Amino acid sequence: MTAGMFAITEAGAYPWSWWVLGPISVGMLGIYQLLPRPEGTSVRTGGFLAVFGLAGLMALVLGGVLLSVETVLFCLFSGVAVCGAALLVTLANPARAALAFTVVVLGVAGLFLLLAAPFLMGANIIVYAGAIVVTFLFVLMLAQQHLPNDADSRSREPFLACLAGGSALLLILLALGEDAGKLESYQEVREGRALEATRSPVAPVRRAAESDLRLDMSGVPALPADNTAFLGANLYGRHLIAVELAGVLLVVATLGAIAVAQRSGTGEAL
Amino acid sequence: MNSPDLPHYLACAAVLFVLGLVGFLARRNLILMFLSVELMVQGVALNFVAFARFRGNLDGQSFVLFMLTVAACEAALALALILALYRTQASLDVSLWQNLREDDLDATEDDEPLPGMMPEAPLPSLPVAGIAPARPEESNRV
Amino acid sequence: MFELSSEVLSGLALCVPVLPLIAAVVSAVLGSTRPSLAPLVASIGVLGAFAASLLLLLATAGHGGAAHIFHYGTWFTISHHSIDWEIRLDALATAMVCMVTFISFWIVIFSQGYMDGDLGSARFFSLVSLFVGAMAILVLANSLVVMFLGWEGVGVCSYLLVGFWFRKPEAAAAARKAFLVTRLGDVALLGALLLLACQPGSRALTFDAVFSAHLDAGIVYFVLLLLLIGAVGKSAQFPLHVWLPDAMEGPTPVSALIHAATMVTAGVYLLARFFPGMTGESVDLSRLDAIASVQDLAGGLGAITALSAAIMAMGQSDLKRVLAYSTLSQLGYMFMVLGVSGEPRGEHLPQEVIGVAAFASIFHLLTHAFFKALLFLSAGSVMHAMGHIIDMNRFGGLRRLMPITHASFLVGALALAGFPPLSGFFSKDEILLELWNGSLTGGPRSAFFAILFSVGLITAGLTAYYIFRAYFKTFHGEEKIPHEAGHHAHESPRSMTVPLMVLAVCSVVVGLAVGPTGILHHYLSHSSHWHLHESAFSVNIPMILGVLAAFTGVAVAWMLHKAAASTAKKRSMGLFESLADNRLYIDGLYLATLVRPLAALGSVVGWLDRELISPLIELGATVPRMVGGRFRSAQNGLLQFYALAMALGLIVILAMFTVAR
Repeated sequence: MTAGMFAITEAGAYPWSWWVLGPISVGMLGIYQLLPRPEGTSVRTGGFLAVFGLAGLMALVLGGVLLSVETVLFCLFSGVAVCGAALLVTLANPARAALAFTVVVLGVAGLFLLLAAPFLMGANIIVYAGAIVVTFLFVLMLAQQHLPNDADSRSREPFLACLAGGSALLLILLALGEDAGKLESYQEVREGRALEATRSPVAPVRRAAESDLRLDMSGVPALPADNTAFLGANLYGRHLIAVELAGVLLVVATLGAIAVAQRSGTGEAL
Repeated sequence: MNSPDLPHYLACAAVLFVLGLVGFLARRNLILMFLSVELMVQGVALNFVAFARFRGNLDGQSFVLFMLTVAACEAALALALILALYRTQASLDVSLWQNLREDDLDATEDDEPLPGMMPEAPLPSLPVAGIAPARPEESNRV
Repeated sequence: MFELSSEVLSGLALCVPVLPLIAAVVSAVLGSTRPSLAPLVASIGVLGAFAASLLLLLATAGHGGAAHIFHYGTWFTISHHSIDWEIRLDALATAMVCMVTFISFWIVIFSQGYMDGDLGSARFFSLVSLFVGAMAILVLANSLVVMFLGWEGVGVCSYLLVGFWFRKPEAAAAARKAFLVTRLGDVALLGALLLLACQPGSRALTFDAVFSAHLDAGIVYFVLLLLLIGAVGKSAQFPLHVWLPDAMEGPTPVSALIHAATMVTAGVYLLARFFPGMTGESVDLSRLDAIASVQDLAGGLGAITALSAAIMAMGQSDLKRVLAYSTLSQLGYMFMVLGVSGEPRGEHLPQEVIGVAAFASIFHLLTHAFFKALLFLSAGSVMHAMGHIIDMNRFGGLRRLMPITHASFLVGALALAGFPPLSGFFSKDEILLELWNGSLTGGPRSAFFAILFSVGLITAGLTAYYIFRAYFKTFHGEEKIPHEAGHHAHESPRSMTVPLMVLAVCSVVVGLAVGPTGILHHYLSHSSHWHLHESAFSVNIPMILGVLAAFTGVAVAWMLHKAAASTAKKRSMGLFESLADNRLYIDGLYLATLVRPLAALGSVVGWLDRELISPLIELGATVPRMVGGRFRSAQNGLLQFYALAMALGLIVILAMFTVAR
């Protein structure tokens, strides 16, 4: 490709720095407005501020990226995920918030797809949207409470929470912006040299998984196309014991959940 | 560049993480707090997958699978605990459990009334004048 | 008798300590749900250990029990020296472990009847098995550190078993006393080990390494002195003997097993190994001198204990106490003969003299174990029948009621008194003979040995007297039964009488079988470092004197307690009774000279601490309390405040990485 694209590897070349303070504070102000409180929320102002902040942040962050299909898809999925997250945090009705979480999961699944992880996309949707959220909805229905109530219509220190969240985000993005160009190993990978995988004599599975490692057109290493097969080989090869332990953990958690949820007085605990 | 790069994904993950943080700090419904934590977990998972992609290493994706496992266990246990808590207080409000405070501190109470629970304005009480008219039965119905 | 391959021997030797330990764990685990299985498990474990050690004995008898060393693993390593799990199987250890497991097995069987119905019986059997395992470790260990493990293990078991009925305050106090007093000795033993570990030659801390190391005579002296203190503590010799009479608070089978037959003999065993072993291969006079000066101390302490304990035993009215003091006295005998030091005598080397003395003490140790266990178990049987009454003034004339117990007690008493040809006769004769020979050499110590010999002779007479006094009071005279006995007042069940009969037969036979025939002598002669020479059995002057003393003692007891029918005895024995009642005032002496002053000092220090030091410390404590008070309100119990604090911490860390960089 052209020499121009390598410009971004120079330090500080990502176009965000302290500028992100603006959209972040606008967005957090919007979230603050939207958080439920007894005297009522201003949905219109808050929503406007939040969307404005998000848009500003996207514009700043994606400033140097050309408009391509991938960029559009990234904007779409990340926008869906972030909007879902904002809804999850601010909706007073917990059932709706749980549905907003499925939106987040779908958005993140889309990002997984962009990141060459189709298996994880499916797993994420099945486990979260399919299992966890549904279970949560059951419990919500079980513990149905009418709005307004203390749990859903009040927030604990919304201003402090938004301030903490905003400063954390600001600092993370600053760190990212300053360091992104200097990610040394990333740069090495981009330049196609010094791949640990080719250097270290590890299990053959790993080598098989990464012998396919190749750079795509923009110089980024590409993952093998058979994502599921290689992921399985990786899991059951290098991480076999961890897989077994995860199975044990699941069993223990199941038993524990049964023991904890048992109504006291109705028989012995397990 | 013509496609989003690693820092863009990391930025998106950071936004998700921080929104989860805000939700955990501000919301009082136990289930919502738990969902906020799951939101933070999603942000972290996105980080892992992004690194896996841009470093050409599948270990990040494997790790996300383990995170899914742990999240499932966590959800099962959290729901069991929430149920147990709900049985004792018939509410999901986390502020009902503040027994671990110092002995001499008073419990934090909410003083602002909820909109639906405003004390109703007292009805005007009219002075009794004359003889009360005999009311027909059906006038009792509202 | 027959040959076994080295691997089989190694496996058998491992079985001896391991089987009882497994039995201990299993019976402890089973105990909470199936307490009835505990005695079965314990007896199987101990029987297995006995079978293994008997096989070892028979297999090594052919080639005289030369030392084998079996390696099983490494415990730990310090710089280049590793402490290994090793068993050193020589004649002495094999004979000893055989005796221990045999007696333990019969005592476990006896306890099955004795502890029947006790709520903690599973705990009891678990601890007894643990004790047997620890004792086997003590006896078989090759490394001194592993031996110390067993040494402490038997101490802990003794503590737990003396305090078995821990809800009874006397039992708890007795257990504490036993533990603390023996601990004094244990610290000395540990000191000996540390001293040896500091010497370059003996750093490996195995018996062979220590015995063959070129040690300075001064080091030898201090090591042996510390070992002697350890042995004195464990074997309850004067002045650390005070715990043993109190230890009778434990169940009677425990008294029989631990406080008569096995654990208390560990000190004798240790010294019988070390005194001959430390002489080294060649005659080194300065070293022999160092050993001899420690031996003098051992003999002197043994003599004091033998005589004073015999006197104390004469006046006790508590049957078990009589036996406890008798144990002290007999252990004193063993220490006395260990005091026979290696002055060159005739054509014999000093090593040989010390070896013969050690042989005499071990011989007495083995026979004593049988008849003292027998006496204790008989007393236990009496106690069981009398509803846990042990005061001899409250029962009497039991010989028709309990014929088997009567017969077995009589056999035990005769053996203890040293009547020919019971086992006590031969071993006591051996001891007296050694002391007699020592006094005839004309060396600088012959007067000392003459004193020891006369003490031994007097003690022999007193022993015969006090044990027959107890016998006559318990089994003769008019029949008296305390009301606590209730319906128990009859002969004990089969599980208790069978061990009595077995041990009675052993008490009769063992001495005769192994003593005059020379079997034991021949077998132990190959035990390393003993240098035994062949000797033939013959009638000699000390033997005749000893038998005369025994007969005199029995005759006096007959006159005072059988013939006079328990009326006039108070007058004649008043002095002894009062001395014995107060335990020769030794406990009182300790109370007045040590305990009271220390308690007074403690109260003064306590006052200083409370009135002067505490306020100062509390002044220091007020500052943090005030500062903490400012921040107390942060602890408001609201989960989300804590989470907020966490988030703020995260922000600070992030800021340190970015902005403030």
